[in-house]
Amino acid sequence: MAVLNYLLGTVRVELRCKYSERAVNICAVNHVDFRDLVRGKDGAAEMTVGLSGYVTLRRVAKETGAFTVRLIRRRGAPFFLWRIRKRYVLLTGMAVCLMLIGLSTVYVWQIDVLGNVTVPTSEILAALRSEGVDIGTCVLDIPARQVENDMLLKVPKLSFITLNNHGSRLEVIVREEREKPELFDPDVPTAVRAKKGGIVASVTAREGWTLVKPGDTVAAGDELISAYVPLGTGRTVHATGSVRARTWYELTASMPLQAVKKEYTGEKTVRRAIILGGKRINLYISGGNPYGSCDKIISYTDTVLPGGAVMPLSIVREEYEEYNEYPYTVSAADAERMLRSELLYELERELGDGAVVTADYDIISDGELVTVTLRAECLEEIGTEHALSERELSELSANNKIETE
Amino acid sequence: MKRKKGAIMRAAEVFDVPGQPALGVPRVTVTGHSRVHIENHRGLIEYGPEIIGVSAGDMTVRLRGRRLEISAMSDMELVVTGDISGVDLEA
Repeated sequence: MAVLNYLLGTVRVELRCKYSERAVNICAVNHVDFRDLVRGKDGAAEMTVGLSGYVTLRRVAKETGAFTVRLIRRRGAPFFLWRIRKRYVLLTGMAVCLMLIGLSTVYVWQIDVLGNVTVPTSEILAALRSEGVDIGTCVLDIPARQVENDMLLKVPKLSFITLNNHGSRLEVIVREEREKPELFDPDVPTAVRAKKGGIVASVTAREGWTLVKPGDTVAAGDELISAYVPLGTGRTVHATGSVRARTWYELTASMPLQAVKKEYTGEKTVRRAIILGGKRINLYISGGNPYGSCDKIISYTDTVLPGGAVMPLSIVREEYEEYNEYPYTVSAADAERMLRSELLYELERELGDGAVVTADYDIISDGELVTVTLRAECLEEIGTEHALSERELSELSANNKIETE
Repeated sequence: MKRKKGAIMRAAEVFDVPGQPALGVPRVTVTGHSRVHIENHRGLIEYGPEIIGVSAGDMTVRLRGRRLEISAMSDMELVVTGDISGVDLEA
């Protein structure tokens, strides 16, 4: 309301009359809306009226002669503009400023992605960019419904997306697709087979017919728990259970003893640029690499207002740090230690829930290259469920007279 | 006119309907201790920081308090704000 009053302009006036109540009532009768009425000095009425009210008041005062009007204060945009009417440069500046503010509201300066949990914001922003929606895009050029449909195809993990435009801020609300849990279907004939070769250490069948026992040697793909249970007239089931086996691994890695080491010279060059509405403006003249060998570190700083609103202006800082390369000799012992730990890490990553029982290392060093071979015995789960195909099922039915329901 | 008003008011009472909309009977709405809204007034009688008197046709509405101020006024409505301690209706 205060903004509207300022835009329309208000006048504080003093009505002087023998009985100021009478002047106030004349105002009310003549539809002069006023506010903040107080009794001023010498019993005069002080009130605030609008511009049109002030004109009416002057007319009524002149026609009736019942009271006099004295202007105390003028306030508002009309008076300000009237005061600066001959300052053309200032008026032009204000007009340009208002035009820029008006124009800025039709461009996207900030994109907020809300509701994503597993899909990274960067992936959503990249997909939006490929649809032509980015910082600096004109809001009027965004076909929201089409972008929403295309985004669902481009990012399949999204089940819902909507684009809401709040002035120069684009709010992207997404909902992710819930993955269907893997259901255990007891009616699907399934066998447990070996995914790796090894010697069986233990077998626990929860459903199905056990085909192996501890101490048996199995190869990858061998059936460990059958889907066919030969009890009574025989039937097929969804076999499930745990088969742990001793397995063996051999991993090899090499490392040269000659390496290159970086040493910084202390020379640095910093270049700056600004990104205004998606357009980069370099604040330096000469581009290119300032040194022969150097590291380049780029950092972006967004400009944020005290309220948290991000402005469409980012400052880019590029730091070039010169270094020289020197040949460096790694000791054989250090190379061996590094290779051992890397091989063990790789083995444990491959085993998952399994465990390393024993590990032996073979080291070969010829002065230039160190090669380490890891031979390990492990204990791990090798059983994996395998749904029987139609052909496998018909073969099983032919070999065993299975009862059909 | 007064007789006509009286007849309409009696009829309104018989039929149990509010007579105010037709007759322009004043309505005084008090909000807490800080605001009084008067509709269908007939003008100010007196005003000051401690007392404001408003004509409401057959009666006078007198507001008492401290720092009283007429925040807004038109030919039909009037809003008084301040620390209001009493509202008197004088016939």
